[in-house]
Amino acid sequence: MDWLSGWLKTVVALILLATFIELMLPTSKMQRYVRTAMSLFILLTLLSPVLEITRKGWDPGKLLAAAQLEQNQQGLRAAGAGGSSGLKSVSPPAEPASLEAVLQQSDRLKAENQRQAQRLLEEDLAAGMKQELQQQTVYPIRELRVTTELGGKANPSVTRVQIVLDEPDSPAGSPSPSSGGSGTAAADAGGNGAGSTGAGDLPQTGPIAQIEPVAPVARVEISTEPIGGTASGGPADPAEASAAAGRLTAAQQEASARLVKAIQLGWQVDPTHISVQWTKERTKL
Amino acid sequence: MEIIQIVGLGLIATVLILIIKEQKPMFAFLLAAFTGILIFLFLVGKIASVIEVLENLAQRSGVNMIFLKTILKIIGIAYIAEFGAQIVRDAGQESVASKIELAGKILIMVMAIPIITVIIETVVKLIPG
Repeated sequence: MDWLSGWLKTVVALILLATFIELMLPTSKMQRYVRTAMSLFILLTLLSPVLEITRKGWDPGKLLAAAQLEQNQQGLRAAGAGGSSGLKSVSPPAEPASLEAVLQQSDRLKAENQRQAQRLLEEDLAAGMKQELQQQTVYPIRELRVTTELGGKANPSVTRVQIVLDEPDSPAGSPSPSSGGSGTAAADAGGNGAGSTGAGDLPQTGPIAQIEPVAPVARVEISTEPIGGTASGGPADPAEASAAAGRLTAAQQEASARLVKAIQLGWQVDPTHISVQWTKERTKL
Repeated sequence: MEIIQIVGLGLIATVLILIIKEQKPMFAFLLAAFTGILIFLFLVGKIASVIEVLENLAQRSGVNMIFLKTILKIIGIAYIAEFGAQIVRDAGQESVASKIELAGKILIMVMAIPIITVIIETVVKLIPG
């Protein structure tokens, strides 16, 4: 643009000059000749950009080929840098990376970012659920795991909620079969599970995260542990129930059903995606 | 005020020439020539200021100084040729006057020859083959 403005200025000045000089001429006899000479000057000034091109011996074909060659080399270099670089290596700043390499890196960073966000969401959700559910059951919740999935439009949906409950192993801690006995059971298990809750707790006990809209999930996946033979539940020996792995007392069934319902109501998670597991293992009592 | 001086000078010179022309036509011619030169010298200072302005303009707008020099030379040739031709014409030598004018025209065209050459070369180079 600088060049263009300079050229225009020159042309305008030359035309002004020509007008002045024509006025200065003594008689009109010489006017024709002087006019011709001035017009030649103006023509030369107008042609000066073209003149420069021809004087340097530029050939349009050669120029185009040189430009293309340079571009290709640059692209190859950038592609080589992008291909050889690992996850964390950044292309050298001396030469600008090609668009492809930059896009690749941005995709990588975006995916990593999304994974981190997903993990954070899962942890927050699990912490919130655990805190809420612990108030509804007498059995100490050992672990609560939430798996989310990013659907289209980056809308996260809960695909799986896994609850691990501590199985009561002491006869005193076994809840009575009647639903009315939950008060005593709570009292019993509260004393029982106080230590284990503190011990087996997951580190994340932050405030309840804001609940994100959860898309309904169609897939049905029931992974509740099979119900043991103690369907009648009530009179079953709690020691035997706890001893036989995979067997649940009626109270335990009821508790898991309640938990599932609570999650369904409170968090709008499809009940088929909730799995309740019982574990006998006690790290610390 | 200068125009009055110049016109006065011209009037006096004319009267003197008319008086002297009867006795000495030779002196009358000399008087006319010198009057013309005197008036021209009067104007040299003014022309210099005009040329200075033109040079300033050209320098500021980036016009090639070779162009300006050539243009000024052309103007000078035109002035001098015109002046000489008129004096000679006053002396009654019409053919010599026309020769001076011809010389002036040719010299002006010679000044323009380099430009014409450059333009023709450019055009020829631009045309492929």
